[in-house]
Amino acid sequence: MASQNRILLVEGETDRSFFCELLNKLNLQVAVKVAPPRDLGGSHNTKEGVFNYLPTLLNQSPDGSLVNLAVVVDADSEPNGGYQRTLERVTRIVSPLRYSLSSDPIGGLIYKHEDGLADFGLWIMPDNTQEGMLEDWLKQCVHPNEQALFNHAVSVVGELPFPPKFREIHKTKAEVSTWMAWQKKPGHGLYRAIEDNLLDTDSLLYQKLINWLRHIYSPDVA
Amino acid sequence: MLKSLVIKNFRSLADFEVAKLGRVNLIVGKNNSGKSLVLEALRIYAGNAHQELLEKIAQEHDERHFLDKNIKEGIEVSLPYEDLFTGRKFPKEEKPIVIGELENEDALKIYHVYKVGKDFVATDEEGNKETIKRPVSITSLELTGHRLIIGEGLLIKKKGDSVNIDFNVISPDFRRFATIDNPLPCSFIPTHLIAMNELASDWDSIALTEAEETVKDAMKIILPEFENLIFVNDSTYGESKAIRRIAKVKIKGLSRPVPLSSLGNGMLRILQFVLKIFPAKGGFFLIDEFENGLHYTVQEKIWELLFEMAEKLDIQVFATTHSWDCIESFSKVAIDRKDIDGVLFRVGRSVRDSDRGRVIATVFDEEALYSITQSDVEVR
Repeated sequence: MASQNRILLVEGETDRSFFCELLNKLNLQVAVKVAPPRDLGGSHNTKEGVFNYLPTLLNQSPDGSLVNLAVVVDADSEPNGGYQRTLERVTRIVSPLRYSLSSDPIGGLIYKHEDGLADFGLWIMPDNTQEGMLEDWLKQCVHPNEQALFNHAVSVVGELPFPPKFREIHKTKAEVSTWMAWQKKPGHGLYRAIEDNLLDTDSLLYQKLINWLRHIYSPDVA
Repeated sequence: MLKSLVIKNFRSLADFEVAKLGRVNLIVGKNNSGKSLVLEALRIYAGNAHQELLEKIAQEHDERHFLDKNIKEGIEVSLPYEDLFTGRKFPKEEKPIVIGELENEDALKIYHVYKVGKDFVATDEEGNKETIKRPVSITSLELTGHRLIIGEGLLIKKKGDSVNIDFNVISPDFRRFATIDNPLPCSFIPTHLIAMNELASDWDSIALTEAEETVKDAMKIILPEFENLIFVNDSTYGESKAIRRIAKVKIKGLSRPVPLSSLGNGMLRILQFVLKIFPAKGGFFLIDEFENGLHYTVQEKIWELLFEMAEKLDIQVFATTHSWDCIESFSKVAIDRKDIDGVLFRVGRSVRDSDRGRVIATVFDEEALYSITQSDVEVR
């Protein structure tokens, strides 16, 4: 059995492959396992599954069996989701374990432990402010060379001569998927956006995300 | 049955707590983490720290358990049982070894004490009063510079009862009687194999009973062709020596018995388990390194047997392991047997600021066990 003490917990397979690719690119000095709940023995690959599994994982920290943990979830939208609601939910789960939200966010959200355990990281997609999901983050990080093609995808989706089958909140998903369908290797996951250098690595939001990841998984924190 | 566990000031377990125990408990942890010490503490708890038991434990570790009068003063020697205390020396303050349940006053306590002479007024037959000195035990806290220290020892307390172990008294004749409370039945399976003669006498006490059938069924877990078992005197042993008994096994299709020892460690190990579990009725059954000699394919069946027997005989089982296979097989049975509580706890060292290095327990109940066995999270 592989030993894994640095974990990035995500909602599902799309996020898993995306963040695996992103972390590869970052060249961190430590190995990080990116996993949705079911890969770790949780019951469901959903946002709820992430929340349910969080205490079990954090309980492995006091004796060093788990060194670093961060979570990426979608804010989704009101009335059931939204940034504020998601933040409050996570805070309710981790505060009995003596983690409290730091007022000094490093890119993403940081929870500090009262008794010296490593910081616990939270990123609420897209940008720790607005409603949305991973695709909304991507939309804000499109490379300048790709912008024209992306804009075209947006207009195609917007001008569909048929009634859309997707819900309005999934419109960005449709736009990003359409744009990705016109790339070198259509039909793969969102991770191709990183592999094919379709993202603007200098964009503010991209930089925020990687700074946050570097902070959580920096080896000297362990 | 203990519902929780607290161990204080005992070897490296300075302040160790397990909030929840089950009927069957598996203890995991790295080498030298202290998991075997938990078993040792439970042996001492069950045996009420009886002197004979403490001597046996000291001998297992090559530690001192008597004062050697022949050693000249000035040479640095340890006092008997000093190694039992955290830091391998007697505490300066009054800090006893504590073994018991959380928030339960009935815990076993072992104090290091000094013997001092105390004045007592005695009245003889003619009514004359006379002051005599009698030795009493006091802890270092009560010790003042004025009194003459006659000796040192241990004071053992449990449920309001107490008994002394005096380091100066080495005669085996009268100290053996000192005991408090009734000891709890306790069987301990060490990592090495138990002597055949001991197993033979355990066999004698269950022969021709229902328990004998249980033993035979257990043997079939490893060797389905197993038919029967007996202990016989070893004829190859020299006449001058004491009687040595060995186990012989009847195997299906073979006309003559074969020595059990020729069938591999697994058979010997499982025989130990089943022969030693009956005397543990109503008490503890402790296994150091469960997986020793047992291939992973048979471990699940052995856990099933242990869960079943533990419930039937009202035994609380504690086992240690290094093996992931053992954790998996334990978890599977613990989850399947919803009626019997199985708990796994990991012994490790804190990385928190307030108690860095302290030996702590991380408990996995059945739900957490399920998660953890499905995952890559390091449990051991």
